[in-house]
Amino acid sequence: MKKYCRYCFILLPILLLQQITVAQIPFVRTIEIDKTIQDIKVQTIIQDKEKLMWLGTNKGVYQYDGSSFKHLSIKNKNEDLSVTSLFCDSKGIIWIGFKEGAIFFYQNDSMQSFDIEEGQPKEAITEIVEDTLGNIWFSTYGEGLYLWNKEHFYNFNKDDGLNDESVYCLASDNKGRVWCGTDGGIAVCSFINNKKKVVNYTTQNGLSDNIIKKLIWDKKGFLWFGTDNSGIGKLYPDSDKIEIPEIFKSWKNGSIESMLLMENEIWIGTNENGLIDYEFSGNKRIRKFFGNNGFNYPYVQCLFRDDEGNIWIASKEHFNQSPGERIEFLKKINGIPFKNINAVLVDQKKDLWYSDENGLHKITFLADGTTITKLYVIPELKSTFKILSIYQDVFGFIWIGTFDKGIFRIDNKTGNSIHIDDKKGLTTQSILSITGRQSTLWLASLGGAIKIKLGDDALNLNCKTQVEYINSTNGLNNNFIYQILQDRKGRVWFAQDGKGINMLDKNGFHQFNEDDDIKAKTFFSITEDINGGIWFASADKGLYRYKNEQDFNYNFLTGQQRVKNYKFYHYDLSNGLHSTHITSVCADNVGNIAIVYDKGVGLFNLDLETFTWLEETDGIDNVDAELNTSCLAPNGVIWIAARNHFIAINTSLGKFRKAPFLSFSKITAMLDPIDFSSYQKIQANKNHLTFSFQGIWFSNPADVNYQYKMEGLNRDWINTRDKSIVFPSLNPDRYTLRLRCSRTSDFTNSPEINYSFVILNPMYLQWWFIILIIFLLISATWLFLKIRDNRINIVQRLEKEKLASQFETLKNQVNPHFLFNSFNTLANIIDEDKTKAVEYIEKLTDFFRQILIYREKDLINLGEELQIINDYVYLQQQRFESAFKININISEFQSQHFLIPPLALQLLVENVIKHNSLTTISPLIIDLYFEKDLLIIKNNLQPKLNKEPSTGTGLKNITQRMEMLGLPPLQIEKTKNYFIVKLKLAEKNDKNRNH
Amino acid sequence: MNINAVKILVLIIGSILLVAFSNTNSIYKITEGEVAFSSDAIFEIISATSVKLTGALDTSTNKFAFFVPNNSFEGFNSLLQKDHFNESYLESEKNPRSIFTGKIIEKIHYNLPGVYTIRAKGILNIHGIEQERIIKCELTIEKEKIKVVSNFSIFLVDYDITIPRIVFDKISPKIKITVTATMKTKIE
Repeated sequence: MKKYCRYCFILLPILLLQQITVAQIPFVRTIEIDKTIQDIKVQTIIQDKEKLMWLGTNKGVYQYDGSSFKHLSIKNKNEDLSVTSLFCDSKGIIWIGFKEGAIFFYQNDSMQSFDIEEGQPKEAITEIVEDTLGNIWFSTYGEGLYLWNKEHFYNFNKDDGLNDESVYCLASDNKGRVWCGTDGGIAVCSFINNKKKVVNYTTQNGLSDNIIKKLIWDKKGFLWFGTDNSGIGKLYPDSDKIEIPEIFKSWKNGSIESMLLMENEIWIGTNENGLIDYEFSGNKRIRKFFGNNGFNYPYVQCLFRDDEGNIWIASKEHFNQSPGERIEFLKKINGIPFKNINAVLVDQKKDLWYSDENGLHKITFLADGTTITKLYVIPELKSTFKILSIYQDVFGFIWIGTFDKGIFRIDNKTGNSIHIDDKKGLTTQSILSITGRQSTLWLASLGGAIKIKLGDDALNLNCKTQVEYINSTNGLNNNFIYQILQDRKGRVWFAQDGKGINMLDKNGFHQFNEDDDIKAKTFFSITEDINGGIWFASADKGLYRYKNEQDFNYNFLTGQQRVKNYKFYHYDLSNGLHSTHITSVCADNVGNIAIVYDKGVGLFNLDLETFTWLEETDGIDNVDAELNTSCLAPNGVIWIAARNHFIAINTSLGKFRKAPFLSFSKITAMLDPIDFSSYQKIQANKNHLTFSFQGIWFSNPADVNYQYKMEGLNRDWINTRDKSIVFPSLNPDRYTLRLRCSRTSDFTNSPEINYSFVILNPMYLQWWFIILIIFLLISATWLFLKIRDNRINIVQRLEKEKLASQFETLKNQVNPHFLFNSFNTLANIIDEDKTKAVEYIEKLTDFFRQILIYREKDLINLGEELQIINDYVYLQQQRFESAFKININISEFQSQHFLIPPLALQLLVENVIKHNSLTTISPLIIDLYFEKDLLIIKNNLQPKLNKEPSTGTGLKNITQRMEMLGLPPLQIEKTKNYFIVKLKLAEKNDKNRNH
Repeated sequence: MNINAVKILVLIIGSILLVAFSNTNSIYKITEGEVAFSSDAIFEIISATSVKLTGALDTSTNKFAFFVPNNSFEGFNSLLQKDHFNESYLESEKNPRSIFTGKIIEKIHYNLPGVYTIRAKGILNIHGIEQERIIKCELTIEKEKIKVVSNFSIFLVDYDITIPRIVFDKISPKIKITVTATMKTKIE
C-alpha cells in the first residue's frame, strides 16, 4: 500500500479582475485589386454561379477568380461609373446598379444597359434582390423602390405608402414580399396580382431607430436589422415582435454599414469602430476587432461570406480576405504578448488554461467581450519550475504535470491543490503529458508510463490514488514515453522514444515496428478520430494512421479467418504532408485531425480524405510549438499553443464547399468562341482549340492543380497548373475533354467536368463530296469520249467528202466534153500558131498537175487557187476568145491571207461557163472580188437556151466541204441580170481551221 | 370601372381644373395636344391620331392629368376600322376617354429653361382598365411654356382588349403611342 500524504497548498490568485476587451481575433489578409487605379473602394460584393467573385467599386466592376482581377468598365465621359449594388439572380444574370441610378446587366459574357421604356432611375441604386415570384427589386436612395416584373417597371414611393424614399437595403422573404430599410423605418412591400401593398414599422412599433441601414434573415426566419446609431435588433415577421438585445441598448459604436450572419454570430461593420462580432447564441457576447493586431480599419463598407466560408471585408481603404471564425488568434493579453507557452487546456467551462515561465494561467472570456485573467502561483515551486502538461479529469479537477516536481491536482473553485510525489508512490518527477479516460489517468514520463486510478472518493480533491508503473521491466520496450492514449475500445497506445509504438490490450502488449512498415522510431503524439482511427505523429517520419479496420487473412487450408497484423498507413511529403516533423496531433469531434508542425497547421478531413494546410496565407507563419500543445475545447474548437500565441481552429462551422469549383470560362476554335453549353460540330479548318477554365478555391488559390485527358487523343491524365490548354491541330474525330482539379496532388474524388465535341472531316473527305467528284469524273470522261467520237466522225466525213470532191473534179476535167473542147481548140491553134499551141499544151498540163497536187489538201491559199483559175481561164479563153472575160480584183495580201478548199473557185467558174451562153456580142463576164471578207463571184446572167443536164453536185459538194471546215455555206443570189455567189473564206491566222 | 376610382379620378381632375381656372401660374394647360398610335402588325399597319388631347400640370406639386376622347381618333385605313376601334375594342360609348393621371418622379426646376428627360408615374386608364405605369417623357421648358414629347407602348392584353382570331395578324399586340403637347400657363 502506498501511503498518501496530504499536501494542501493555497494557490494565490494574484493577478486578476482587470477587464480588458481582448479576445481572439480573425486573421485578415489585404488583397490589392488594381495597381494602375488609385483609391479603389469596394462597395458591394457578390459571388456568381461559377463561384467567381464580383466586386462593385467606385471605379467600375471587377471580377476575381482568386488569382487575378478582371476589370469590366462601364464608362461615362471617360470615367468609370461607381457601382453601388450587385446581384446575381436565379438565372445567373448579374445585375449592376450605379450611383448615378443607371442599371446594367451582364449576361452571356456581355454587359448591357437595362434599357426599358420607362427609363432608368436617377438616384443611386442601393440594393437589388429577387423575390420568390421572380420579380427583380431595386432600391434607390431618393426615389423609393422599383420593381421589374419582366414586362414593366413599377415604382414604390411615398404616394404608395412608403415612409421615406431613401432606401438603404432590401431583403426578400419567402412570401413574395420585400423588406426595405429606409430613413423612415422598415417597409414591407409586395406586388402580388398587380396590387401594391406597403406596411411600415417604425420606432412606434418598437424599432430602436428609424434609420435602418442593413437587413439580414437568419436561419430561423427572423429579420435582423442594423440601424444608424442604435446597434442591431431582431424582428419576428409572424408576430410583429421586435427585440433589441440587451447588449445593444447602450450602443456607442456608430452607424452600421454592413452585417454578416454566421452560424452563431453576426459580424457588424461600422463606420467608425471597425468590425464588431456579436455572438447571439451561447454567451451573447460582443467582440471588437478594431484596434487590434492589424485590423485598423474603422469604416467597414461591406462584408460577404463566400461558399468556401471565407469572409471578404471591404473597408474604405482595403479589400481583405479572412478565413473568418474558422481560424482565430490570441496574441496578447493585457497588451502583453504571450511568451514560451508550455502547455494548454480548455476546460469544461471553456476557460483557457496555459503555462509559461511564470506559472499556470487561466483566462475567462466574459459576455461583454472582456476577459479575466488569473495567475496561479504555487509558493512551494520555485520560479524555475516548468509545467509541461495540463489535464482536467472527469470530476472537474485540473491536473498539472511538472518538470521534476511531480503532479498537482487543483480544485478550480477554491484554488486548493494536492501534490502527488514520491511519497504517494510517484517516483518519477518529470511528467511529459497527462491523458486519461473516466477515473483512470495515464502519465507519460521519462521513467515509463504511469497509470493512476482514482478511488471512489474522486469527487474530493484529496482522493485515494493508486499508482502503477508500466515500463521496460513489465512490457514496454522503453522508459521514455511522450504520450499515452487510451482509446474508446480500452486499448492503450504508447508513443515511445526510439522504439516506435506500443499497444496494450486485453491480450497484452503489441510492439509495432519495421515488420508493420513503421520506419519511425520516435513518436510524440497520439490521437483518436471520430471513426476510432488512431493517428501517430512521429518526430521525423511524418504521420502514421491505424484505421481501426479488421484486416482479415483467409486461410484456404483451414478455412479459417485470422486477424492479420495491424495495418498502418503512412503519410509523408509524397502523399500530402508539408513537413515530416510533427509535434502534435489532435482530433476534433466532426471528423478532422489537426496536425501541428513548426511552420503551420494541417487539417485532415476524414470525409474527403484530404489535407488542408493553414499557413502564411491564413496568418499562420511561425508555430514553433512545444510538444503536445494542442487540445480540443468542449465547443469543438481545437486550440493550439504556438510558442508565443494561441491558434483556435473551428472546424465545426457550417457546410462549405471543400473542393475547388471547376468550370470552363471560354472555349475557342480558331480564336472564335464557341457555345460550350451544348455539343458542337467543329469544322475541320477550325481545329485549333483553346480551352480556358478556372478552379475557384479562394482559400488558397495557389494550391489548385489541374489534370486533363482528351478522350480520343490522350491515354493518360496530364497534369497542368495553367488555366488553359491548347490543342493546335486535332484530327477529325470525336473527342471529350475531361478536366478535373484538386487542391492537393491527389485527384481521387476531385470534381470533374467535361466537354464533348466532334471535329468534322474536311469537305474533301465528306461522303457527298466524294460521290460528287466521282460523278463529275465519270461525266467528264463520257463527255470527252463523246467529243472525240464526234471529231473522228467529222474527220471521216470530211475525208469522204474530199474524195467525192476529187472524184467530181477529176470526173469533170476528164469529162470528154472538156477534153474534146480542149483538143478541138488545140487543133485550131496548131495550124495558126505553133508556139501558142505549145503554150496551150503547157497550160493544160499545168492545170491537170495542179489538180493532182492540191486534191489531197483541205485548204489552200487563195493565191494558189487563183493560179489554177488563171490556167483554166487561159484554156477557156483560147476556146471562146472574146466571148469570155474574167476580172480578178484580189490584192496580193488577200490572196495570201485567205484559204479556200482546193478547186472550189474552179468548180464555180466552170459552172458559170457550163450554164451560160457565150457570144462575142454579149460576152460572159465574171468578176472576182472581195466584199468585206466575202469572196464574190459574180457573172452576168445569160442562160443557155438548151440547158445542159445538171447534176447539181458541184455547188452541193462545195457547200458540204465548207461546212465540215466550219465555214458558213456559200450564198447564192440570183438577180435579173446577175448570178452572184458569196463565199466566206477561212483566214490564215485562224489556227483552228488551219488543218 | 371601379366606382371609387372614378370618384377619385373626378376629384383629381376636378381639383386640377379648379386650380387651373383659378389664375395661379403654377398650372400649365395643354393648348395644342396630339396623341397618335400605331399598330405594326405583319399584314397591316394601322395608325390614327387625335388632336383633342387636353390636360394640365401643376408644377408646384408635380401632379398632372391628361385625357383624350376615344372617338376623336382619325386616320384609320377605313371607316369600318374606325367603327371597330370605337365599338369593339375601346367601347367608346362605355369608356369615352383614355386618361393618364399621376405625378412626376423627378424634381424639376420649372423656371430653368432647358430639355429634361423625366418619368411620369401614374395610372393609365384605357378601355376602362387602370394600370399603373411609368412613362418617360421629354420636357422642353421655355418661358411660360412646356413642350412634352413622349413615346411609349401598351400591351392590349393589359387593358383587356381582345383581338378576334380573324384579324390576329392585322393588329399588333403591342401598340406604340406618341404624345406631343404644348402647355402654357394661364397668364399670357
